[in-house]
Amino acid sequence: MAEEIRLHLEQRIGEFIAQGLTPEQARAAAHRQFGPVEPVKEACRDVQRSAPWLESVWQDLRYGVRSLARDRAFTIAAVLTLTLGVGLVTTFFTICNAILLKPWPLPETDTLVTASRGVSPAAYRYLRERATAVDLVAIADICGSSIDDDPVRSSFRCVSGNYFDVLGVPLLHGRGFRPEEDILGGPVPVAVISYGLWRDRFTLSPDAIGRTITLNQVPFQIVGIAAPGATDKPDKRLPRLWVPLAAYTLVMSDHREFLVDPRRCCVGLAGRLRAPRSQPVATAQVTALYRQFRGNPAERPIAITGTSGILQPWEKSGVALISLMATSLFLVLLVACANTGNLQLARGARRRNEFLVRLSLGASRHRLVSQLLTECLPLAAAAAVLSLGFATVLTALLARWLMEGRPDDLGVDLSPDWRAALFTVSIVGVAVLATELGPALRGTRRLVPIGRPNQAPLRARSWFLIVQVGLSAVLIAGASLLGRALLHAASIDPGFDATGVARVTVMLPSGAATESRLQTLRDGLREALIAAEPSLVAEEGRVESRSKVSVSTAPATVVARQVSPNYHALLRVPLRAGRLLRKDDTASEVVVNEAFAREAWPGRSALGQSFDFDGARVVVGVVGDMQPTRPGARVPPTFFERGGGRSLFIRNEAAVLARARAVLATLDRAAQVRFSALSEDYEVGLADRRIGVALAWSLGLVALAMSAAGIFGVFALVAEERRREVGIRLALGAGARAIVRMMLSHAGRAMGVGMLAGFVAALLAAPLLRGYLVGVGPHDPIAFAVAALVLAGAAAAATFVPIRRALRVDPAVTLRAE
Amino acid sequence: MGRRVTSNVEGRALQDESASGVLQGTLDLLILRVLKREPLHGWGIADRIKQHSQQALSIGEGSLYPALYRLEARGWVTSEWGTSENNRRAKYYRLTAAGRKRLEVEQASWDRISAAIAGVLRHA
Repeated sequence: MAEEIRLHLEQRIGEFIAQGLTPEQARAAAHRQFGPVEPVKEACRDVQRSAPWLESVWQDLRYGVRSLARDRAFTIAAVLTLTLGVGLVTTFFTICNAILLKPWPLPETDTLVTASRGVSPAAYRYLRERATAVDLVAIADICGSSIDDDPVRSSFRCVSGNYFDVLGVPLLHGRGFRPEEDILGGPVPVAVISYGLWRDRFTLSPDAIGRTITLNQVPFQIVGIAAPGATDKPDKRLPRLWVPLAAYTLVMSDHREFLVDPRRCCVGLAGRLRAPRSQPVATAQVTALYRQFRGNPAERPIAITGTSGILQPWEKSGVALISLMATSLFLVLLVACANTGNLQLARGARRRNEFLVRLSLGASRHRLVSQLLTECLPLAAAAAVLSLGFATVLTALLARWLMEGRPDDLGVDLSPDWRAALFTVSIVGVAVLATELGPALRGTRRLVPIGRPNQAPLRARSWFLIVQVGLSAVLIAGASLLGRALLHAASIDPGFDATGVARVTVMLPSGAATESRLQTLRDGLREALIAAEPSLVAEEGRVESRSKVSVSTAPATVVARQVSPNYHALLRVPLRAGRLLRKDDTASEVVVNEAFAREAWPGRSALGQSFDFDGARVVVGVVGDMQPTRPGARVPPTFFERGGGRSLFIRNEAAVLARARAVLATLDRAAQVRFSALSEDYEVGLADRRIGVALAWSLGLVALAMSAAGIFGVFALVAEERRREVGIRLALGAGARAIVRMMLSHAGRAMGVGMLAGFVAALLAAPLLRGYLVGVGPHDPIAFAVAALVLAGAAAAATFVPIRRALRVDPAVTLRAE
Repeated sequence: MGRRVTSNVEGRALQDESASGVLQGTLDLLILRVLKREPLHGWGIADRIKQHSQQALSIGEGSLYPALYRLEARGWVTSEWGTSENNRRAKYYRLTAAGRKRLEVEQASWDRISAAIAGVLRHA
């Protein structure tokens, strides 16, 4: 372009010289005719630098970065707030994404399918042989087996012989199973071990292939080693070990009928379509075949679906919890947005004069608003990147915690993918746009003359404050309610005394473990123990739950427990009326718990009453309600009859334990005995709920902290803006009380309204939590009082410093400063 | 910094108009019209305008270039380097199909306006 202009000028100079001017005169004339060269070049460059809007966007971006760098406090506060809010939501999304949205971690996911429900192994064989639209594989997890002599029980995965070929589960070394290794009645003891097991047991040594590993004392030959993280479907834990389905009978010799009895449940189904996108065909075919197999044309259909975006059965129960979590996190995000909005407003107020000057110089409002929005891009970008990082770290920590320090064994892939990135960017985008557009439009209004206090941002600020405080109130009230319910659950009497009572489990090496042999051992142990320490041993037999019992006013469902006569005495369950079971009682004499008595014969004595449950039963005694496993949960109506033979309970005293071991050793050398404290079951039940309460409180406190920061910011701003007014008032003799009242009159009202609205919302929403609130009403006054105290405390803390600053204003200094 | 942004955006149009001495849209129209006959270089366009307006429209030659670049950015003209009649290197501007269409639109609207103004001047 410079070249072009130079040529133009030379041409003109040449012309002028030809007209007879001297070179100097010609040059001067040419330049006169052309006009100033540099501005022309500049103007050309402006046009050349592509489209003008892009140019201004670039300019705004640079300007935005510079002004954010200057406003460091604002930038840090806004980015941190957004990161916290968005990061928490992203963490949650990452988990949901890993469980629900990502396809199974297998190759060629477009043909990969799963079935809506499992079938019996017999049905699976029928379907596999006949289905032509899909290659089906069977997957069954078998729990509670011991690998080699590992005391920790782990599960192994029984899979059909075509599993590795069809699904393509990645292997590191060796091979998968062959179809001929999974033939019913001809089990072949081969195994594929996971990378984790290879690492732990064989220290990654390549000669593990061909070695043996025992599963419930049955040796299996290792034929393959799976790649790190290899699994089929996402699950909490990666599988440790795969064996052919037919080898099930080798490990679980008690349950041979599992593989052949068509009524047994279940193996999960997965597979590959022979033609892509033929799920409907496969569904129709598999359903038809299954109905044929069952001989029932009305059998529920089996849906064959892709593996992305489906709920695993173990997730379905969590849907309510997931939506509760999502709602709470969304509330936290809203608080974060409101906080950012307030920060933006405050910043807008500070830049008000700049905008007014530019508006009056002729800048269009459109230009200023788009500039303000563009300026936020660096902010949003920083927040998005940090949120993703925060979420990645948080999910990694969660995984570590969930897997007790072995996050490698986690069966779901929590790494962020494009879905998580897209989610984060859109959430940040919406959040920034929602919080910035309002302040931008407001801040660039022409109408308000320079210098006059602008009331509009104050009102907007109040709205943001109301939202923040209100949402925090909802979250804190919810957390408070859950906390109360937990305290209640921990404090209520489980109805028995578990201290010092242990459950005795007799074990045999599994090749040798048959139910009859175990029973013989248990009987021998019991007889010996009862003979020695009759008062310290009790046993429990079959437990059966059944609805519809012929009592005049029948409880909906009753539980029947077979127990030995000293069961209640051992567990120290209080006797309320009548007597406990005796050795010579028959099946017709039963003891009921208070819940039973209350429901069946309200207001009357249960003693001597009768009802029908596999024959006539007569109530001879009433005992207190006991809740052995689920703290705080309702105790079902229960009756106890004479029986036993399954679980053995003993008072956990050294002498008794030693005797039990000795007795068992004389009965069977191979037998082992395990004692587990009964109170453990109860503690586990409480621990799960403690986590939930801790989570609720942390979310509530995060929201509250953000709100407190917001309140602080607003009050600090009010104090700053009204410094002069305060000075005048103080000079005129106003007392501290009047100043405090003045300060509170603005934002204090918003705070009060927010809190009130929040508590009303919490009262309305609390019944949704009912499932988690045992023993505490959804409108529990104590819980709400605690929440109110926490909120008031936070508000007081947040307003204390700004108000004190206002009170310290020196009238003389302030008035002179203007 | 804020002020620079303002002056760039709001000031550009002002500068163009004051330097050229003709209304901005009109200069575009003149350039397009001149290029309709044949591709031409910058000073040739200036000469042609001066010549056909009997020296009445003497434009600041410099302001021609921002206008040409703008027209090029909008796709109404294209440019290529060539050799001028007196054997100098020169950048030639050529009207595109879109430019031809644009010229028709602009010319029609100019005709309408000038006829209207002429009518007012004659009869009012």
